[in-house]
Amino acid sequence: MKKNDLRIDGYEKVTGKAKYGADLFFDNMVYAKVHRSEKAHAEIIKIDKSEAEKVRGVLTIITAKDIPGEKTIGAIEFDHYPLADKKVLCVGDGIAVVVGETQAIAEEAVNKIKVEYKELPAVFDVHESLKKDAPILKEGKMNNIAVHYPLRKGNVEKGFEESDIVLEKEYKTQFVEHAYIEPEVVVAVPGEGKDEMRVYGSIQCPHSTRKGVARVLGTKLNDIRIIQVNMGGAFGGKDDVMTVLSIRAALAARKLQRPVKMVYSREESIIDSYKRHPYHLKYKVGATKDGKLKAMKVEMYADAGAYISMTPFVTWRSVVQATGPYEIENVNTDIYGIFTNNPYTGAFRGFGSPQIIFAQESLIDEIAEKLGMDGVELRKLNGYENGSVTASSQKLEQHEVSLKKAIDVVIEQSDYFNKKKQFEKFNKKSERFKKGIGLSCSFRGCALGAEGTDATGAIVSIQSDGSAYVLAGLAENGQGLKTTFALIAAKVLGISIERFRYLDQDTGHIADGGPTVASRSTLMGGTAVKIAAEKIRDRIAKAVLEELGEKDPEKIVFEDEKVKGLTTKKEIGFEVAVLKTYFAGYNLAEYGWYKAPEVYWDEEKGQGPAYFTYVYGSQIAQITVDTFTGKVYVENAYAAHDVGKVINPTGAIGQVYGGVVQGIGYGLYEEVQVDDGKIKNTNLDEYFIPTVKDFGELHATLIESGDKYGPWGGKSLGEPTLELMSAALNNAVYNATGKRNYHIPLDLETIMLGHPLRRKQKRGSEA
Amino acid sequence: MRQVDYFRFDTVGETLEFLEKHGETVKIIAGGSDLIIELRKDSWKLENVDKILDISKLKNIKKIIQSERFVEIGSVMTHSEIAGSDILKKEFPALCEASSNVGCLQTRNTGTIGGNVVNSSPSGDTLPVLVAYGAEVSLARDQGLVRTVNVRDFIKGPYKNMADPQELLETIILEKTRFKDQKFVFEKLGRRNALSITRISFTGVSDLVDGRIKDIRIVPGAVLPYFRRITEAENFLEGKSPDKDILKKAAQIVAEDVFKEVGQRWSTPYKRPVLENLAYAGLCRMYGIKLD
Ligand SMILES: Cc1cc2nc3c(=O)[nH]c(=O)nc-3n(C[C@H](O)[C@H](O)[C@H](O)COP(=O)(O)OP(=O)(O)OC[C@H]3O[C@@H](n4cnc5c(N)ncnc54)[C@H](O)[C@@H]3O)c2cc1C
Repeated sequence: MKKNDLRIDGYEKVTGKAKYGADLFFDNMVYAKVHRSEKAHAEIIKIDKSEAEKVRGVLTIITAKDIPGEKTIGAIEFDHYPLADKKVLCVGDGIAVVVGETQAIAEEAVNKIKVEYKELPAVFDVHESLKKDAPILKEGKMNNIAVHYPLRKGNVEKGFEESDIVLEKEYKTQFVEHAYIEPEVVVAVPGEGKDEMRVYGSIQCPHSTRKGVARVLGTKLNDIRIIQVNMGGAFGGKDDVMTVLSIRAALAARKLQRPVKMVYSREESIIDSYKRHPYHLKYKVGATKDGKLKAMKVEMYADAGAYISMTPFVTWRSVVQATGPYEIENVNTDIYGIFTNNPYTGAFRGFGSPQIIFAQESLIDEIAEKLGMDGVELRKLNGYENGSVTASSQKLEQHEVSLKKAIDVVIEQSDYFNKKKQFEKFNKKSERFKKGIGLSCSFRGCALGAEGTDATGAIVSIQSDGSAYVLAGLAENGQGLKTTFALIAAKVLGISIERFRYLDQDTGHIADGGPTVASRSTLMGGTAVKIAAEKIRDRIAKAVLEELGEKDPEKIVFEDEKVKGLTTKKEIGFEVAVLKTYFAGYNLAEYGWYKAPEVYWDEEKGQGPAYFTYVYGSQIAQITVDTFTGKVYVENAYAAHDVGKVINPTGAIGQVYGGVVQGIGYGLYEEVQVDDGKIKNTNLDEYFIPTVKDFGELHATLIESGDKYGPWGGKSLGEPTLELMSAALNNAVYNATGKRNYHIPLDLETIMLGHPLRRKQKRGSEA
Repeated sequence: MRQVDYFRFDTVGETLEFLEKHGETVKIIAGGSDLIIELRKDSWKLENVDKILDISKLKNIKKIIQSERFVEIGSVMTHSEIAGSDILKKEFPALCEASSNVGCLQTRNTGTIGGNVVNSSPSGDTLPVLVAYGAEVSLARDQGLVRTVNVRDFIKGPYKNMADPQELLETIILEKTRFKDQKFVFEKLGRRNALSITRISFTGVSDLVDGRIKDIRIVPGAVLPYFRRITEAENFLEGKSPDKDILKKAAQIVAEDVFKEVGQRWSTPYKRPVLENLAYAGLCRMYGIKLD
């Protein structure tokens, strides 16, 4: 593909013309605000709306009682209440929606709602939640286990016996906020037809949201249209929560028969939205003295919070990938997703991998050191290559297993071994600053895998003048999907992407192609686009066969805005070819549909071909630690990722940069501080994401090994880029300071004291 | 968000008159980079407030003037303007350093020095520097009433100061140091390198005459509820030639003195050693002693 192709949605974004959810305005529009629970676990005795109703301009106050359909939603299990019914399960649960003529009226009134609770015993820690006397959070369940996935391969006990060295370590990761720059927003607009409702908003997975809205409003799916507007980021975070917002607004819009706008503030966003799962991970690894990994036992506890959300899928990815990209004969893994009264946790770029990679890649470095080896050497010795067998006994074949290539790239680019030596020298005599370098690597299953049905569609439509539309079931979340899909169609048809416009993302216009998650867009959606474009291409080829004097449509090529006969060397402009096809009465629009190859998972043993293909990557962090303050500065970050095939070079590099920086945030700064279920840092002045001043150079390399799947072999990139930094940083910190850490973030206090420090009481006079 | 009415006058006189008349119900707004946040939070601090009074365009207090002995900074000078002022760079370079490190470019372009002083946050970055330079503020009130107060005394505690609601901080007055060879440092530690509330800062200013420290002022930031010089450390350093051992000892004195007052808090295990380190690093940088 051409370098520096412009973004298809670049013009409107750069000129400020693009409308985001908060920019939307409809005649007669009114405003909604949510009253949320202050309690982590309580029965609702009474909702007193009287004072709020007295505020002039308040139009209605909606509670669970006003729900015509089902009271619960959920992509996997229906346990999530968009409006609390009888009980609240976490702080931030929505209880009532106040609608006013203006935003200010709604804001004033929402504070006047009074809820009387009967508090119930609450639990905030996964281990407490597993105790016999813990309150059971879900009716009809025997315990608080949301999900448990085992994986058994070989005999770990035997493996440990055969090991010369066995190491056991525990790791902890934190709650993390997506911190998309645009907080949640929807506008629900009643349609003209009976029961019709449209919801416009910053919605990552329009079809998932449609299911939830129809379910709670008690309508058919085709009564509801979800229309995605420009998104200011999602990172996996605008899925369930946007369904919740859409439902809340739609309930009000249905009752008032007026458009209802709901815009969250940053605080509301942080309180109301789901987080990345905190994990507690226990690893035990055994190796022979020459560095062969013999056995690994892993036990993990993921805090699901109050609702199950995506916990089963998130933890399933963890169980598949927990032992990393290493061939180990004997593996025993268990992961538990546990309900607590904490904020609920769900999808977040990485999806169950950043936690395990932090632990397992820190562990690999530590056991390597015990064996007197460099971590890189141990990784090379045990790392996957073509034909390797995974922990779930899947043989890695039919694609290039490029793990070691990715490692070699970052080692060479960073001058890893030389730097290690230089830093050792520097650190011996330096007083304040210590330098370090650390590596991590990973394999990652592409797309949904055995999580569920994996199929998706796209429409390509060529107009009679040679301009074109494209639209897919997967959605643009800022990642550049529109551009990539246009590029794919353009390449098939031998034309430039300037000819394309992307159509409105509307559930009424395209079939449900599953959620925009799991780094599956280019691989799955891209293939669907390619299929659609190819069908049209073949039709055009047929229509121009005679004109170009060819007999075989295979001999017609599409390139440089032209359609050419390979043998006759005749050529016509793309427009001419299109017109010919048009007048021949052929359909110039097509639906492409792509269903992923079969995968399989044995839930009892945790065995099977989990994903149909994988990607590999490696990252290096080169840092300076200020031992006077505990500050870690990333001087250089190196990332190498095999994407199969690069479709959109600028977009791909952007993914790497963004992922690496988000990984730096995960490793060094970010933590949602939850105290007795209540979030303490509810804005970005206290929840720290990295700024441009917080890192030095980023070096990205894209490896193209191709694949039999995906458009020209294009696979996944979005998530792998985020998952590796925290471990690389942890290893670099050890290299710099000689002190190992077992939790993230590696904040100032952790580096100085070896443990985090938390304010115990309320904010005092201190800064 | 608190709903308020907005007022702006063309002259200081009218501004003072309005303040006098409306007292506690009006709040001055300069850059708004602290106040807007309070309004948005509907903070208890604004309990009686239903008006804001914009002073950011008052020409008389948007300039820096110098006389032979003094430099007077208009209170609505922004951090960007302070950081770029040639007069200040020459006479009070530590102040430029502090202002140039505030927040981000947008904050520096709107936030003012007067706002920083009157907000009186323990992590206000210009405050320790102003205390180090012995700055005074002039507070004006209707009917020509003016009083000048030392910044050190002006700050009474976190977000507390001596200004009455009817008073306008007009200017900040700094007496020129007449140092022969001004040495200065402003070290700031935040959780990240931009847009971050100061966790600890260290300000040092002195003269260096024949290799000896003269007239040194040391003021830590964000560790005490107000700002003061650490005279014990200053006395220790006065007249000495700076070297690592001496500066290290001085840094110890700084930390000891501060934490004797602060006592043990949740953050002390971190802040105490780090204040000492920052003081040491700051003093080294001040006297050009390289620390790897
Ligand atoms: C993103 C961000 C980052 C920040 N980073 C920093 C930082 O790194 N360091 C730092 O020190 N601060 C920082 N701040 C705080 C703030 O920017 C500064 O304190 C700034 O100097 C305040 O000035 P202002 O003109 O905006 O004050 P305003 O918000 O206009 O006013 C603040 C207070 O002072 C009063 N006031 C203002 N001027 C006068 C006057 N002349 N007379 C009487 N009363 C007056 C107002 O009534 C109000 O109570 C940051 C703020 C933001 C939003």
